[in-house]
Amino acid sequence: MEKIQRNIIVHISDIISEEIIKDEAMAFVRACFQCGTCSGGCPSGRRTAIRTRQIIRRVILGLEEVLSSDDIWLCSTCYTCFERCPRSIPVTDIIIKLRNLATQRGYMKPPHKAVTHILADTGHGVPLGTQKGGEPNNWSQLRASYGLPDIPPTTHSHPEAVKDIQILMHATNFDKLVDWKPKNTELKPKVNEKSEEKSEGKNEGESKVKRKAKSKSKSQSKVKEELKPKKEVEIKKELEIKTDSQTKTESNIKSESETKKTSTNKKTVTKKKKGLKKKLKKTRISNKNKKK
Amino acid sequence: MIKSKIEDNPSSEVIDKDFEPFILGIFCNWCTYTGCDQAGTSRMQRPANLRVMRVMCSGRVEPEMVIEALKRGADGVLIGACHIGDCHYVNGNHKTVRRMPVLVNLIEQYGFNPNRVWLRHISASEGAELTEIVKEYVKILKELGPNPLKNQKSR
Amino acid sequence: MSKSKINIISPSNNSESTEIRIGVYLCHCGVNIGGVINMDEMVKFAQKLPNVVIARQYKFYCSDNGQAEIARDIRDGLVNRVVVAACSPRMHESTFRRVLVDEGLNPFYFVQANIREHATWVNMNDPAGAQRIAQDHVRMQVAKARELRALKPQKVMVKPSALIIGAGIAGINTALDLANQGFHVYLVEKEPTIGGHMAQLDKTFPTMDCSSCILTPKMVEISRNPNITVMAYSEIEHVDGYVGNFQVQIRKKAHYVDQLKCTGCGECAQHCPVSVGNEFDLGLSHRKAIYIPFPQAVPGLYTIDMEHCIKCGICASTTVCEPQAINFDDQDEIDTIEVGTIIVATGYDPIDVSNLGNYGYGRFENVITGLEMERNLSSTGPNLGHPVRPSDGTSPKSIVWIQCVGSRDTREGYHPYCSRVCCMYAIKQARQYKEKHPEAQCYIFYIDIRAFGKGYEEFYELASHEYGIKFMRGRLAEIQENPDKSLLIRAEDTFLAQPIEINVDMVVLSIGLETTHDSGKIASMLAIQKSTDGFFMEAHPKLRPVDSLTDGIFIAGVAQGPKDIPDAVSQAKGAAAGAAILMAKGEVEVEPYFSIVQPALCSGCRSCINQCPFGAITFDEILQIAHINPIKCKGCGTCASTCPSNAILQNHFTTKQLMAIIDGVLGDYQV
Repeated sequence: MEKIQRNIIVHISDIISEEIIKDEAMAFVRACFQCGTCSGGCPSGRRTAIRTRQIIRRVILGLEEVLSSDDIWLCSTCYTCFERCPRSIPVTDIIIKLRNLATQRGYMKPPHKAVTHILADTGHGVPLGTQKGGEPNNWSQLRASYGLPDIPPTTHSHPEAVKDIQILMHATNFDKLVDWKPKNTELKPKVNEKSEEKSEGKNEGESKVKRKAKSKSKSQSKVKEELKPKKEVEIKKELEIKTDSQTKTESNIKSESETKKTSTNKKTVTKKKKGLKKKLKKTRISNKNKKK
Repeated sequence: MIKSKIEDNPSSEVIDKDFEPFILGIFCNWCTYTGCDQAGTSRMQRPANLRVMRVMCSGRVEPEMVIEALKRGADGVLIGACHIGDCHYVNGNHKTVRRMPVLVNLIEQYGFNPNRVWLRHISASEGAELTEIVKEYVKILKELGPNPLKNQKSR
Repeated sequence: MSKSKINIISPSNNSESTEIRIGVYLCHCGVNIGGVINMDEMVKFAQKLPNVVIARQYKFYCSDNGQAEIARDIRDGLVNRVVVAACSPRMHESTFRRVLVDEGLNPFYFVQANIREHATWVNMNDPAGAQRIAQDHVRMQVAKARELRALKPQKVMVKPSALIIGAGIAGINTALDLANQGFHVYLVEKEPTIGGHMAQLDKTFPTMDCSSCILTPKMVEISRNPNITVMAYSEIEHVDGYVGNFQVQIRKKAHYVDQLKCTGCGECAQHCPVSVGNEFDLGLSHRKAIYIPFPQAVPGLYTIDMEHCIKCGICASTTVCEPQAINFDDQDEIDTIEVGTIIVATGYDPIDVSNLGNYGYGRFENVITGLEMERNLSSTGPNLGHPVRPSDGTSPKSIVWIQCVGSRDTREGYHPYCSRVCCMYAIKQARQYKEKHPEAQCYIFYIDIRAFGKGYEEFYELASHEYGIKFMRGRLAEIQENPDKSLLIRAEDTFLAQPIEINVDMVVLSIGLETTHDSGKIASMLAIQKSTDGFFMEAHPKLRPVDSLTDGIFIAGVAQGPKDIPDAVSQAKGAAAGAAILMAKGEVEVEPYFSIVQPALCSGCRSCINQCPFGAITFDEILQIAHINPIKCKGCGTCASTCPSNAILQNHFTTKQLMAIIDGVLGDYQV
C-alpha cells in the first residue's frame, strides 16, 4: 500500500533564508507579508503552476521542497513581481539565487544539465544551430545583412578557448555537479561532434547545432561588438526548441510567444523600468495640463 | 367612552397577512432611545412598525398615556427603560416596573390582551436586543390581530 | 451655588398668544434619508398637517446654508415653531436650537423628528415602511410643536475642581493638564501606588522607550503639584449631585501605617517575616506583608496587607520603625469632596486566561501570559530582564506568541472586539527577546497583524526583516506538553495551507484587555452607560469620544475601550480639555426639564415626595402644597406621572405635549 502523504510542516529553520539574507537587498525577503501581488501578477503563473508567494513563504520557513520543486524553474525572470512588490523584495533575484542553491544541492532538471553539457562541449549554452524543423538557420545571412562576419568572435571562431571553459568548470566542481566528463582529451569541435552523436539523450537537433557551429567556425570575424538583445532572443529560441522536444504541452505552446517577449536580462528591465517611469511621468504631466 | 367589554384574544381565524401592527415606543432618553439610535447607526434592520416617543425617564410614562394610545387604536405599546440599577435618575425605572402589573391589570379589565403593553429593559448599547424585541413583538401582535377598538372604528 | 433663574411659564406669554405657525424642514442627509424615502411626498404630507405653514426640503439642514434657510423663515416672520425632520435630536438638537436663539426665538420652540436612525437606517430595504414611520415621526413632532412652551435655559455654577478616578497613564495626564490650568484635582487610585499598568511594562512600542523612564517623572510631577491631591489606596463610595456640583464620598482604605509619619525607609519590610506573591509582578516575585508595590511607587509609603499580616508586631517595634508609624488599629475613613467635573480613567484588567482551556495556561508550566512576559523582560522584574522557562529556568530557544487570546472571539466568555495592543506588544517582546538571544526562534501566530499607529507598521516590518521574527498566519489550535516540558503546537500556515506541528520551548499568550471587574459598580454610581463590550460608553463615537452621556462626566483612556499608550494619553488630554472648558466658564447651561407644581391644582397628597430620588420635592406646610426645588430636580418626570391631580408639569415633556404626540400620531390612524 502506498504511504499516506502527511504534508505537515514539522521543522522550520533559517537554512535557506540565511543564504539569501547575505545579500542586503535580498534580506528583505523576511519582510514579506504574503500579500500575493507577486503571484497575482505573474505572467508565468497565468499559464503554469508557479506560485511566487509560496516560493517566498517556503524560503522564510526554510522548507527544502522549494529547491526540489519545479516552481523556481517556471519563473521567466520578467521582474514584474519585483517591480510591484510593496516590500521591495527582489523576488526574481531571489528565485535566481534559489536556482543556484538548488543546483548546488543537485536539484537540477535534465534539460538544464543537457544545456551545461553543450556549454562544456562548445563553449556556448546555445551554439549556433538550425531552425526548429532542421532547416538551416538564416543567421549567417542575417549577420551578413548587418555587415557582420558570418561567425561571431566567440568559441565558435576560437575553438581552442573551449578548453579554458572546461578547466574553469572543473576548478569550480561544476562538471561534477552536472555529471559532465570530457569525452576526449582533444577538444576540437570535430571530436566533440562525434562523441555527441554517440552519446544518448542528445537529439538530432542538437547534433545539427554542433555541426553547423563547426562548419561556420571556419569563417572568422573581425567585428568584436555584437548586438546583444538579438543574440539573446536567438539563444532563447534555441533553448525552447530543446526543452520543447521533451516537455511540450499545450500551455507551453501558448506561452511561447509571451516568454519570448518577457525574457530578457536585468539590465534591459531596469532600462525598461526607467523608460516606463518617464512615460508615466509624462502622461501624468499631460493629464495635469489637460485638467488645467 | 368604552361601552361594552372589548374582545381581544388571538383569533382562530386566518391571520391577516397585510396587517402591520402599529407599535408606539415610549423610550427613556438615556438608555432605550440611545440604544434605538445605536441600532440605526449600526443599520440593524427591523420591521417598519415602531414609532418612537422620547421621554426623559421611563418613570415619566403615565398609565393614561398607554391607555390613550390603545384607545386611539395603537396595536401595541413598548415601554423602553434602562436596566435595573442603570437608571440615569437612580430608580425611575423601578417605579415603572412597579406600575406595570397595575397597568396590565387595568387594560385587562378593559378587555385588552395583556400583550398590548410591554416593558423592556434595553440599554444604550443594546440596539441588537431592541431589534430582536421589536421583531418578536411584531410577530406576537400579528398573531394577536389588530386592536379591537381600531376595528370598531374602521367598521 | 449660584442663583439659577427659573422662568415659570405663564399662559399669557406674548409669543404664545400669537398664532402658531409651524415650519417643517425635511433634511435629506445626503442619501441617508433622501436615498430611501420620497422627500417630495414627505413635503406634501407635512404641508397638510395642522398649523404647518411651510414645509421645505434640503440636502443638509445642519450645514450653514440649511441653517440659514430656517433662520430666514424665522426672520421673515413666516414661522414661529420649527420642526426639523432629520437625524437623532441627540445629534443636532443643540445646533438647531442655536439658530432659533440667534433669530430671537425661544430655543424650546424647536423639536426634531428622528427620521434617520429610527426610520431610514433601520428600514433601508422597505422604503414604503420607512416612509410610513418617517411620516408618523413628523406628525408626532408637529403635534408636539403645537403645544410647545417657551423655557429659559437653566444655568448652574461649575466648581473649579475635578475628580479623576484611576491614576494610570490616562488619569495622570488628565490630572497634570487640569492642575496646570489651575484647577484642583483629586486623583483617586484604588492601589497603594499610582502608575497603573504602564508601570508594569518594560518598554513601549514602537520607540522602545523604557516605560518607567517616561512614566515615573510624571508620577513625581503628580506628587509635587500643589493642585493635586493624590488619594491612593482609596475607592469611590458614593456619588451625588450633577454637572458642576458633584458630592463624592471616597473610602480611604486603612494603610495600618500612618501615611504622615512613614518615611518610606523600608526597614519594616526587611524585618517582616511574612512573604507573599507580589501582585505587581503577577505573583512572579515576593513581597512582604508590609510593602510598597515597587521601588518607584508614588506615594512611596508603606501599607500593611492585613489579609496576610500575622500581627507579630516586629515592624511596630521602635527599633524597626523609628517614626512609630505602624498603627494596627487604623480604620477606613470616608472623605467627602465636592467637585465640578469627574473624569473616569479606570483602565482595564488583562483578560483572565485561566478560563481559556485549550491553551493550557495553568496546566503547562511553560505557557505564560503577555503581561508575565513583560515582567520577565523588565530589568526590574523577577528575572532581571532575562526571560526563562518557568519549568527549568533556562533561556528558551524558541518562543511562540499566540495572538488574539480572548479577543476577536464571539463565543461565550470571550470578547468579540480587538484589543488593539496585543499585536504590537507581542512584536515588541519578540524583538526584545531576539535582541538578547539572536539565535532563538521567535514565532508570532496571528490572524491579522494590526499595526495601525504611527511608526507601528515600520516597527513590524523591521521585526520581520531585521530580526527575522517569523510571522505565522494561522490561529494556534492546540498545545500539548512533551515529557521534557517543551510544547508541541498545532496550527496551520494558512499561506501554504499546510498544518504545522513543531516543538517549542515556551508559549506566550497575547492576552487582550477587558473592562475592570468593578466597572459596573462605577457605571451605576456615576449613572453613565456601558457599551456592549463592557467599556464605558462615549456620548458620540466620533464627535464626542471623551464625553459620557452624563453632563460633567468624562471618560479617558482604556476605560472607554482598548487603547495603546499614545491613544490613551491623547484621550486623557481631550478629557482634560472637556472638563476644563466647563470649569473655566464657571457655569453651564442645563436643559430646563425640571418639574413645576401648579399650586392651584396640587391637593397636597404628598404622593410625589417619596417618588423623587433626589429629594427635590418638599412639602410647604403653610400652603399645604408640594414644592419642587428646580436646582435639585434633574428632570426625570417621575413625579409628574405620579401626581393624581395632574398638578405637576415637567418642562418640555408636559402631559399635554406627550398626549398631543399620541393623539397626533393615532388620531387619524387607519389600518
